[in-house]
Amino acid sequence: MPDTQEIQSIIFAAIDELNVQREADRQVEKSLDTKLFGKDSDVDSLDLVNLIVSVEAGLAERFGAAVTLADERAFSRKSSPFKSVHSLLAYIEELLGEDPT
Amino acid sequence: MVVFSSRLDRSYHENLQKLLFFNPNQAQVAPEILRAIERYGEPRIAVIDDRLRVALGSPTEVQTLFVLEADQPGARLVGVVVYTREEDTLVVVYVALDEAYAARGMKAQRLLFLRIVDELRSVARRIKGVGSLTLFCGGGVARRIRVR
Repeated sequence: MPDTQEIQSIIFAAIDELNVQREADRQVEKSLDTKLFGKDSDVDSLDLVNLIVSVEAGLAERFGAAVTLADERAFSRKSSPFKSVHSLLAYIEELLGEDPT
Repeated sequence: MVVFSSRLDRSYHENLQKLLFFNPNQAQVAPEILRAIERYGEPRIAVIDDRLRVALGSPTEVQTLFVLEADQPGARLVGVVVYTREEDTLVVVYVALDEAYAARGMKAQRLLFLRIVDELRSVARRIKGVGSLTLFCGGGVARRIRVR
């Protein structure tokens, strides 16, 4: 089972990458509570795509397996895994914890 | 529910025009749009065989993917993506989303842009010799997304 801290650091590294492209007063907070879309979020559609593909790349690099986060499985969930950093982390843990067989 | 189509009837001309040229969200990504115009030319709407297509003011041959909201009768146009092939990658040239589907819109939870990326990955996977999708993110940074 992958370590939660390790996954969190991959997500935070993706946020760091995103923040490089944003102005100093529009930085995305590295917190589990950070909202990734919706009225309370400062993350726009392009940022979210950027963040998700960056996390996918980080997971592939760290765990050596291609992990697709943005697919029908995620979209069809009643509660979106992309709602916040916390829900994204939980979703990744779930995916990585699954038996590959 | 949203559906993707490479074809769009000419009756959607006004909707497409609004989405492409009078979209309130465009101000947020103005630098990216200007960079795309510099590189690929301005987009324009073309009518070919009673179907709408987006063409560019450059010789670049592009494909268009339309996104329609099919929840109600009379599907509403809610997104358009223009992309082109450059060697082993599909490059996303323009994306326009209906305001309701933007990050802070009423339908943000439907994650339309991510769905578009997922659809484009499927398109890319079906094309022989294409191994990635390229998106231009903030600051003109090109991000390659592996599709295989």
